[in-house]
Amino acid sequence: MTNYIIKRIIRGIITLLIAVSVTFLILRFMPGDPTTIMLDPRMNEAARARLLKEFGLDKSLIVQYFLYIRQLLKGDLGYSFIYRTPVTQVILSRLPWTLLLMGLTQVVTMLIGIPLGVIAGYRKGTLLDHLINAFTIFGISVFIPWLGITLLYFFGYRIPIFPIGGAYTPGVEGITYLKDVFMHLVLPVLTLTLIYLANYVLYMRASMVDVLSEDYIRTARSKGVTENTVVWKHAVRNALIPTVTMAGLLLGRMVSGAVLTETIFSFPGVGRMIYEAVGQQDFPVLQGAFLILAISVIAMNILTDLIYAYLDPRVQLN
Amino acid sequence: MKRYLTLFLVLVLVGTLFSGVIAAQEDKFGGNLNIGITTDPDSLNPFISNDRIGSWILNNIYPTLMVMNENAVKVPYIADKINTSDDGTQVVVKLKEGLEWQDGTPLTSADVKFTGEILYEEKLQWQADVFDEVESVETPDELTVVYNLKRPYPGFIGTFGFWQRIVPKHIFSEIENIREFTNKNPVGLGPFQLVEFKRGQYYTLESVDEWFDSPEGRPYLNKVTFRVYPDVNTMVLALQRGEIDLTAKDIPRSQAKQLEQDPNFEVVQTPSLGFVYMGFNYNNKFLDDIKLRQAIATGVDREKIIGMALQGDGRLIDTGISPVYEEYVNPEAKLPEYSPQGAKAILSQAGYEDTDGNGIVNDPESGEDVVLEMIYDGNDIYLKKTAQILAENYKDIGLRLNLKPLEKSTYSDLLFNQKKFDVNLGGWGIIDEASDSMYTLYHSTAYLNFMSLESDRLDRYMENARFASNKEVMMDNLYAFQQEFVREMPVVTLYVQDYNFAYSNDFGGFTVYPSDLKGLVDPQSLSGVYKK
Repeated sequence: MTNYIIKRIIRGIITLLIAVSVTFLILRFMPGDPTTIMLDPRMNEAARARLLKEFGLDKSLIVQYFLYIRQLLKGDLGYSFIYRTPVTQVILSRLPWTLLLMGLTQVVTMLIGIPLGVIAGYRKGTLLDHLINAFTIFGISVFIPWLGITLLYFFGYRIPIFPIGGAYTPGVEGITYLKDVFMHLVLPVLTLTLIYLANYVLYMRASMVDVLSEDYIRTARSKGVTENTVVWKHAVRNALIPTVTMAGLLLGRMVSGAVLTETIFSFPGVGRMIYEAVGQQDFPVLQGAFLILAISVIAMNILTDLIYAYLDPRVQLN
Repeated sequence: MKRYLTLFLVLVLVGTLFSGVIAAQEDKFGGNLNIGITTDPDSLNPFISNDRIGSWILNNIYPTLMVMNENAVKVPYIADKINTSDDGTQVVVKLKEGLEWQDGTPLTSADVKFTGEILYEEKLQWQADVFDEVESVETPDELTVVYNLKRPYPGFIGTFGFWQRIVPKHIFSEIENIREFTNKNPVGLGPFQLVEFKRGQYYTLESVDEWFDSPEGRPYLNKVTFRVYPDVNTMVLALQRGEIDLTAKDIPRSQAKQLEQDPNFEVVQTPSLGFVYMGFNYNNKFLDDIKLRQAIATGVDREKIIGMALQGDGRLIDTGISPVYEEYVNPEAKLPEYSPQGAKAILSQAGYEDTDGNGIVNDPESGEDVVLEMIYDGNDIYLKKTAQILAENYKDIGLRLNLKPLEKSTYSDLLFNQKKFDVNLGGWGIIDEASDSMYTLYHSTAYLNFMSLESDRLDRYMENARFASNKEVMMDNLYAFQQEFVREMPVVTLYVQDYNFAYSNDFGGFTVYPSDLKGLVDPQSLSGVYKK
């Protein structure tokens, strides 16, 4: 077990190094440089050169790369070009909001998605199954900004129940603050849930279908176990295994959803920070954001593998 | 008895009315205004911030010597008077009396002198360049700053006075690295002061007790909160919902139209201080021919562009100088009237004929088809539509214009760094100080002259205007410049866009200032806004 964990961690570090390098290169190969966006065109060439030097962009690509890696090893993510503050600070101020949004979305999606998947799998081929399928496919195919704006138009403006934007109303305090934060979360969570529901439903449905045809289910039924127990105890527990794996892997995909959702809902998270940083070619912020993202995806992968091994005795660790 | 009763009733009635009037007047004070912005300001450091959002917020906290009035004329603001000597080499700035920084320290000439020194030494902004022409700075008394210039330079004070926010010396002289200073607790001098902010969410300003420019000596509002809505559709919904009362960012015509019909909102328009143009690269094998440039200019239907691409939200610009700066525009200098026939005539006179019969005229020297490619920022919907109309215009006169929409940074890179393009469609955000800006855009040595235009005559007019010792000389040269400009045709100026801003009818007292840099959130406007 320990050996396995160490091996996985080493592999994780190698993956991380590759991810960091690819991010670095992709950003540098974007056309233009940050000065074309941020500098006033009226700035003369000397001032431009000075700023490039300040950002370390006057050095060769190789030198920049090694300086960046050295900096990373020291645990320093660098300075934001635009905000002129440490990237760690910029990200940390945004991260809690994204974690809140993502966490809540995961929970809600699982709570709705898994039962829906179970029902669809159990009632395979029925009208109910088709309806669930159609609904989730709609969710996965829809364009996030469209869905977001539509929800905002109906539930923010036409029937003004939920606020339009932000994480809370400036100035609220105490218990009202908590309620306010909750109200601001409803529509973004709903949007993300609709989008990601399909992942759980379809996975769960497929593995339910598989599991229900297994021998042990037939055995259970012939033993006279009630149908409810067969489905929810014997089948679901086994069908959950692939779904758990998926939950871990979904994390990376969810970030792309967060970029658009947070932007539409003016939510102050990391996703919106990425959206803004791309427009401003703020390399250090983007590198920092993708680094954190890579770390969490890799960590989730390791964790999923471990959980998987724990859940499924057939997985051999050595 | 009855008479007394009537008298009593009348008195009561008058009294009620009167108290109502008093109450209404008192009611002007108080109220919180929420303003929609699209993203955070780049910095709260008044030296460093260089974007629109930064200006919207910081200009309400830090003062400038001059501001622009509603007619785009620069006038003294915290300066009481600004005088230039007859020979144009000395500028005397006299500050208003009794102004104090928000920590109680009086504003003095030392602050103004210091601001210019740091700006120049550290090259903090583009406007630092104007100090190249400054010989020495004196502060003969607490409220007077004297700038001795190396030679007459009319653009100096308009640039420094309008663009540079003045900072308190007693605070900024203590800062070791001004570039990295984030200025989280600004001590400013303006109608408002920053009390709280959460990056990515909001910036709350509170009004000060005394402000010279407010109608009643202090701002009516208690608080102004700038709230971030990155998506303009969401921002408009927030306005309709009442989360914000005003948009600092301009809104598209379709949404402006919708809000115009809503009795709860007021929509106002203000012209840009810049313009959109089509530029020609002189290094292109076809475009160095002045006849071809003139023919294209004659074939461009600018009215159609304004009517269709901008849906009417724009005005014509004829010379390099925007009609917004009316006093500088030479009324004689005009772009050619739109006439496809006229354009074709110019082309055939110059020897351009469709010799191979493929619908595209051939170059008289090389015999090649005159095919050009135009680059532009493909994410800008106005430019996208304009480009399509231009392509039709080219086709109508027998030329071919291939459209190449690009991502903005690619576009800038091709234009500024590589200068690799045939035709570009682009815009200048803000062009002020006509005497100076023409030089920065079109002089043969100017960095922004990516067209590679080289004209001795234009160069001479621009140099003379830039360093004119008096207004007459400046105007003569600006007029001559414009006359030659519309003949030489290095660019075809297409339009000046009008921006739409919307605000809630719950508030009054707004004044709209030119450009999206100022709009309704200029300090001169916000310091007079009240809740109805």
